[in-house]
Amino acid sequence: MAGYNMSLFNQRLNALLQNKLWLSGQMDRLRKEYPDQYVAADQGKIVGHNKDVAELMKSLREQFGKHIDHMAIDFVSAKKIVLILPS
Amino acid sequence: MSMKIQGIIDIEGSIIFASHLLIESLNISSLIPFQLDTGASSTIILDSDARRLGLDYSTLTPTTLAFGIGGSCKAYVIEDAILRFSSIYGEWSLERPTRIMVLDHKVEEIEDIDTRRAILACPSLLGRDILGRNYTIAREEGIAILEI
Repeated sequence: MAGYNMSLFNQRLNALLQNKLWLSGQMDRLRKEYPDQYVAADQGKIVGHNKDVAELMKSLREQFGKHIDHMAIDFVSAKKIVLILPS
Repeated sequence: MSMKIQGIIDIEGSIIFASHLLIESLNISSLIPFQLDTGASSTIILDSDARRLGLDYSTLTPTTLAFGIGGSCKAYVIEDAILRFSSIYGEWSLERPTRIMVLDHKVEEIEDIDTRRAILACPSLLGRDILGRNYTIAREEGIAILEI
């Protein structure tokens, strides 16, 4: 793949996975702090939250620039919901 | 030739893979996490990710109704999507052109708050169109290795 930086690509994908993993481990706490909001996480901390994901994205871009897609962004349901999907 | 992709197993036991989504016609280039769903016939972008990516449903091609959480919903198809994955050691990448589905549950119109929550919390799904017929999944120490 000419001109494509595999190392950077790999780092960004891994960062997204690690952020997702961290965020999934925080859900019980986040349910109390940010019920029914979208929460963004990066490097082991919450970097933004909003009830509207479009507003959250706008705010994150203003704060961190356009390269924010490695951040994990999840909806934090106030009530724990189990999604049953085969995997 | 097969390829191994590394994912994570989250606290709920779900297997998550990260990929780069490219949709030239919509000017979209973004990383996106997918939950592995061997029961899904195609790869699907759910409501929250569609909003996060800024997808405008009015520009998408409608397709047959989809059924899932909360009953039926509007479904759209993107014909020119490309998903790019990184191999386990990061030395090369795999590009898969795919016909990706996008769901719109019209969440604002759903009265039951728990159904609304379930839909918004639902991750995008990596389906059998990417997995193919001869995939294997190995789990080891919190990570998942998908071979496709």
